[in-house]
Amino acid sequence: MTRRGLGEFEQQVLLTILQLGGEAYSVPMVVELEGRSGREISQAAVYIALRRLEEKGLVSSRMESPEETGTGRERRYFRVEPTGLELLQESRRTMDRFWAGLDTGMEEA
Amino acid sequence: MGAEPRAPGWVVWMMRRMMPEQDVRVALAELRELHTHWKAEIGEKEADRRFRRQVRQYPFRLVWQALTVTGRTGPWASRTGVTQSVRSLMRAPGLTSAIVLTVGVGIGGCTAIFAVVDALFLQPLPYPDAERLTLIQTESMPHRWPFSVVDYQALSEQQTSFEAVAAYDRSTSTLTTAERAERITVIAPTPGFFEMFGISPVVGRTPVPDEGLPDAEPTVLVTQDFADRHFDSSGSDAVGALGRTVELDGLAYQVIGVLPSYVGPLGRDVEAFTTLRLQPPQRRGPFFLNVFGKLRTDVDHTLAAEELRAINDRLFPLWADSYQNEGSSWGFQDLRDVLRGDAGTGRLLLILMGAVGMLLLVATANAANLLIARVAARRRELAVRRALGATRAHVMGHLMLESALLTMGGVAVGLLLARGGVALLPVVASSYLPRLTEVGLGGSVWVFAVFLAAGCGLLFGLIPAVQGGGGPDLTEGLRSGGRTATGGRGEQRTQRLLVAGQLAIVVPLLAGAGLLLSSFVRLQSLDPGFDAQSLLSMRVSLSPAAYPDTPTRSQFWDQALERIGALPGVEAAAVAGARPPENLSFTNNFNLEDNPTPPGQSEPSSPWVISEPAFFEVMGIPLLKGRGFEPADIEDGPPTVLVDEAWERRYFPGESAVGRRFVEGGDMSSPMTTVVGVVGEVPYQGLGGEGGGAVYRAGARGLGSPYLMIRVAGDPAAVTSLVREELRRMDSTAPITALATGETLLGNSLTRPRHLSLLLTVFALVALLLAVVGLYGITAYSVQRRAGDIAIRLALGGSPSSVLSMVVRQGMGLAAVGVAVGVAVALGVNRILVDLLYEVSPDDPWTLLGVAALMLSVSAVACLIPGRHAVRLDPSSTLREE
Repeated sequence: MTRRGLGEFEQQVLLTILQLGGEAYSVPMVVELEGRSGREISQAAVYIALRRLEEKGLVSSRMESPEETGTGRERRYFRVEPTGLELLQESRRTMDRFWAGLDTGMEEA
Repeated sequence: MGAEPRAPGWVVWMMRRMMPEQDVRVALAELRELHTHWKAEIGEKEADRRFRRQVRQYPFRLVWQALTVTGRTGPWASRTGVTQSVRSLMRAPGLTSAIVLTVGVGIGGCTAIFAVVDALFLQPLPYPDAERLTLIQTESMPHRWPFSVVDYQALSEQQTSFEAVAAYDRSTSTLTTAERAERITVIAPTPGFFEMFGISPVVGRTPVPDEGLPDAEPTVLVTQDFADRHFDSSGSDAVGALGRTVELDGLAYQVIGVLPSYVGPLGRDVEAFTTLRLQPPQRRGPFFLNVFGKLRTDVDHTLAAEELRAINDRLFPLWADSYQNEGSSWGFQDLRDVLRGDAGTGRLLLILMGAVGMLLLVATANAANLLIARVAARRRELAVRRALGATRAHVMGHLMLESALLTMGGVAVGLLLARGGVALLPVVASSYLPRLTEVGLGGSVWVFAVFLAAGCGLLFGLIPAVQGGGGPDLTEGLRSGGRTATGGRGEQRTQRLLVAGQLAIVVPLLAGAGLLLSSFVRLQSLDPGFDAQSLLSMRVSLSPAAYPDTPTRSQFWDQALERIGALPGVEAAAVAGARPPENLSFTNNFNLEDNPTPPGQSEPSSPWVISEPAFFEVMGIPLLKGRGFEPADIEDGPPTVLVDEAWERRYFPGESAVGRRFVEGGDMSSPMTTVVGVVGEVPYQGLGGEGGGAVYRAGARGLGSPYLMIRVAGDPAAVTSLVREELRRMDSTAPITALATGETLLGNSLTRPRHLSLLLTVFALVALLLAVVGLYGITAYSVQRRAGDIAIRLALGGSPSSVLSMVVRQGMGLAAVGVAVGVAVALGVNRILVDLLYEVSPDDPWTLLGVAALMLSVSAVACLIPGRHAVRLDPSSTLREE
């Protein structure tokens, strides 16, 4: 992978934001990731990954105050930036190239 | 319930050091929201558990990220990063070498001791199905002893619980070759022994059952080392050893197989395995067979033990005329437990591990302190890094990398030292630690060393890294930069805690060393009961073939002692079956006429020494009551013994043992033995050991391998060659071994306490040095930080003595706390030494007082030096600098 490549978990995190309508905070992301992966997901892993992606400029975030959320708790919402979207698509194209030509019988029976 | 879950304090503390405050709040708030969601899905209890599990992941993931993150300013763990860190450490050679060496010594010591623990306690025995291997013995708790031929034959015929049973006799024999005669250790196993232990010969075969019959031809298996040395046949040429002859005790054995050089702990130091040919027994005894059994997989231990007891019970009446110890029975133990050595070995290793572990802790705390100071001194550099875009994680990662490098250095030093230590062990400690030749730096030992080092590295690296990475606002760092080693209040508190902790650890270490030294000194000045000066001793072994019975052996010794007695420099000579203070041949049990042992209970036993009339004169052992041995005691008169005063005190307290009688060895058909005299107490089981009292029989000149004791006028060494020459002239095939002067014998007996007290003293002094240097450092930094205040005080007319006392008071306050805590710890911890101490109590108040006084004095000196520096500050130039 190139220096600017995405790790598998990072891909899953970005895709989950998109699945949740383009903007999400860590709680529904964890639930969605657990539902799609079938295993327990660490909220710490998600949150730290999100901040790391933000440092790389692939996502951006905004804060919502306790009054704004209406729950008495702060939240940090993340959305995927164009650079992040681009990297996601590149990762998909790369994987497609690897899968090309393989018999569909390889999929789960 | 229903309250919101809380994150543990340490988790929040770590998160705050590695994330912005807002992120900490948000992350925890969102995790609590997740908890609410989990409660609805999986229940409150499970949700709580999940919360606890997940919240604890934050510190580890943040640290991991710090160590592996690839940021905008470039990956810290790149080659460049490592080179930078190496260069940075090389620019501080004092600090780097101090940390690497002190931590390395601690790791090396712990690793070497762990290597012994691993070999003795953790590694499985190198035999297949080792967990089913047992040692079967006769027992009458707390005593255990081997089997007789009768026992073994009954066991073999009747048992059903064991897949296989085998036995061996372990003894020394004289090996006679063309060049010389030497004593070697020989094991004589029954056929089937090698198969049971999965030992296969390299060439040749193992004995067949017929070779164990009384009239079979003598056969032997030798090790590869033996074959190399004696038959010049190594490796694939080992087949050349087959069919050759080995002469042991005058008998010719045919080599039927060559074994690998190492056959496991049972075969340690043994190079020849003669096939045991059991003679039909005439009575139940002597008890010399070591019997092993391999339990069947489908057998319960309890049932197996019951079966053994049942066989013994059936056997007892059949041989009751020769063996009356009705209270004895049969039992078995896990072979691994047996091969571990006695309980004392485990305790000794625990003490050593504890001591060197304490030293490692002190070294680690020292390293942490040094690194905290270093981070504080680099405030400006780290602040500049942050200003240029490095994240907190980056800075932390950089600092952790330095710790990792230091740790690797420590591991390298440690493993080198451990290797040396392990190589030295058999040379130095074989008299009190078993199986040292099996100790090595195997896989598990390396893993231990790496984990230990990683643990230390984390300990001494994390605190300064977290403090350096999570620093306060940048302007503070940029401003205060040049002030060297002056830290914020948090850092100061951590450093003071570390120093106090170091001092607290040193106290029990020093106290332990002091107790052991005190005990050693007492042992050294102990009266051994015999005159060790001008005493020479050696062991001479007569070939059973050349001297097959008592008359021939007595004839040899009569002549030999006469000729030796006539040599210049020799005052007197005698032989005996045992040699003080620790070469005991055997113990024997007995039944007192005046106080018979109730049936079902085990008889008392004592060290049994076969000696002769001249023995006591040669050894300088006084006759206190009754008479010494006379010629009639050696010839066919009624059995008589001498006892020592410890024996008399034990069995006839306040009375005389002279004239008392007992029956020897559990055989009630034997005639009564009479005590005819009482001699001075002499140890045969080590100095300061359990003084059970010894019993002396006459007849040593009939022994085949006795100790020869010679009283000389002047230097024993000068007479040695004369004596050896004389013996060689009489019989050149009789090997002479175990040569020692009386003083050497006493010295050897003190080897373990000497080594232990020396080692602990060295550890304690090194730890003390580290702790005191730490105290000095922190006091000096405090003076530096407060230079301005001190200068003002002096400028305004404050007395130098008040400044001095202020500095010293601060440092001594810390020392006092450390020492106080240390004394409390010492009182608890040093109890473990109780079995190793002679006439010293583990909570001896004088030792503790002495240690406390020593530490406070040394600490005072450590505080005085920076104190004097403070007093000599020039107020005007100091204030100008400020």
